Amino acid sequence: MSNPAIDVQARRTTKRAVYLRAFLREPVTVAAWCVFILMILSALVGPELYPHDPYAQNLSNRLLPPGSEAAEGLLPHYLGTDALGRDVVARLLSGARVSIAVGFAGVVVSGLLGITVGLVAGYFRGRVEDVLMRLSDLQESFPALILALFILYALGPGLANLLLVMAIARWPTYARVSRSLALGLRDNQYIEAARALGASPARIIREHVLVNARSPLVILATLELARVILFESTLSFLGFGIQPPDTSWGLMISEGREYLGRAPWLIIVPGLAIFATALSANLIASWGQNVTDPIRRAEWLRRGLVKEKA
Amino acid sequence: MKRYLLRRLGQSVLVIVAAMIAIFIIGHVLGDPVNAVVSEFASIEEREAVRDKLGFNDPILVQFGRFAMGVIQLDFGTSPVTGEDALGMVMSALPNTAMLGGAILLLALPIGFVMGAWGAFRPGSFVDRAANVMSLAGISVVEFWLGLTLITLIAVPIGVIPTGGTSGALAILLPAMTGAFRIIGRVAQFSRSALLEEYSKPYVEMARAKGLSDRRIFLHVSKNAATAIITVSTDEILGLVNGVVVIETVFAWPGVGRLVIDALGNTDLFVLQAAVFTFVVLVMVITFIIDLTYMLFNPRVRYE
Repeated sequence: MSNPAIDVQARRTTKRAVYLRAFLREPVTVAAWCVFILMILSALVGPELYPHDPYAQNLSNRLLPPGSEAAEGLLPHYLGTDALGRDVVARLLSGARVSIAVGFAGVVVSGLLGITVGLVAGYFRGRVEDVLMRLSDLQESFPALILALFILYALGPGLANLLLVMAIARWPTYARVSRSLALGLRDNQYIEAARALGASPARIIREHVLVNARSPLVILATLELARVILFESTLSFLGFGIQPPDTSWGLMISEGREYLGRAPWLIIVPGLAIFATALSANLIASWGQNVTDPIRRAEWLRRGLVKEKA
Repeated sequence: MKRYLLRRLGQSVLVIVAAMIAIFIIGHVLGDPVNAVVSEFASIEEREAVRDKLGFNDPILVQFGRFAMGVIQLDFGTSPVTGEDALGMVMSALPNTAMLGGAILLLALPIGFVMGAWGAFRPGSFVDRAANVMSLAGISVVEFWLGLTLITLIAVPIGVIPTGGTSGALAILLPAMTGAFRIIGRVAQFSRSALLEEYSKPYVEMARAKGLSDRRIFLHVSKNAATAIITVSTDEILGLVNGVVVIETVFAWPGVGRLVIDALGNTDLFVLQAAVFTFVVLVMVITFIIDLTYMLFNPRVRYE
């Protein structure tokens, strides 16, 4: 007879191995995770580790093509320099910090607002639901970018206002999704039980509805991360997002626009950074859908069960 | 059907009223309307004099009443920058925007539908995979970058295609391609799944048993699948309006989107309000028309 404790241990290891194998079977997902983690790491530590100063101007070195030698024994300008002679890699890294930080912050503020509204509407139903959802419908019939630009015009640019605008522009999506999740959960018996035990609505929404709705919401937030990063870059490109001397990827493209014919890398490079980040977030979200949905997960795991052919 | 139309019309009126309130609050309460009229170097006394003269010191409700009356009479004020009627400026830019939007849809909808239909019949084929990649790339790419990249890769080397403005028929090519990219992917994706779902329904088998040709069956199926595709288009219209603002800026296309960006830069509040209002009305009219077509395709809504 085998020791049941060891059995459980063994089964846990196999389960992990199956998951891992299923994961590694999808090169696209693995690549997306690698790119995503790389982007976050470079946003976190890149500006400190990279020797070039993103703000150091050197007008005799302006618009150098990628791979040009730099002075004073520094690393070469791998991706060239911009119109003020600043190193593009260094600016890309400090832009990554701003773009990704604003992306995450934008997701948090719009998610907090939208999820709260949606869960409250879906849990309480009735008049509350009508008013909140009508409001969200109404806002979704407005073009978000124009609304955002108009509000930023009135309030002036700046980080706090930028986040406010993102919360305003993006909350309806969360509200719609979390409302329908709450509608599906509110009549469950465990929620009735919690209510019978005297739990307050706030507590039920927080500890029962939200907890059970978390995986679709995390996936939605991942999709939204891509959208918010694109949104920030568009606002910055149009001059209403991040303001110089700070930089973000969208702002870099806007600054490089004048030199389109002479120095196309000033546009191509930051655009590819936006694209890679948004694409990896979108791919991770669609992988997340496969992993969290029980039916799709079974299908997904089956790929991990089949041993690789030698 | 009459009830549906009336309800839908009521919704539209509600959107207009909400837009009026929102535009007023953002322009006059969040922002300072005096900025639009006086120069930024004006002294405080001058500013207050102007504020008093234009009635921006009156109670907020009185101001809103005045604004709403103006909107109803289609009077948004005169642009302090150009001295022209604000709504007039928007109206003279509108045909350009309509042309751009029309060109984008004319390019995107047929291509997207054909790609989606191809994918439904030949899953895993090159076209199917291309549509997949396009729809994924479409939600990961920013329009302004796509536009600038098209200029760098196509317009600069070839030299015949203009990079901006409206001169010549070729000028619309790059802006339309930029705007169409995302929509093609989305429409392809949705047409594919709508067609597949429709083809799996029993009536198709029945039609086959009766000996209908594939072409006739396709006509029946695509008519029913159209309802699903039209619903997607409503979302895309909003995306299109946002996209048009960016595309017009990148390609120096003299439309309403460009006007919005210029008005933002010039603190031209009245033109801005007129343009934003026009966009909201435009979206409302288009979604209304889409809902009407939806009714044509979906008898369930028609006979309700």
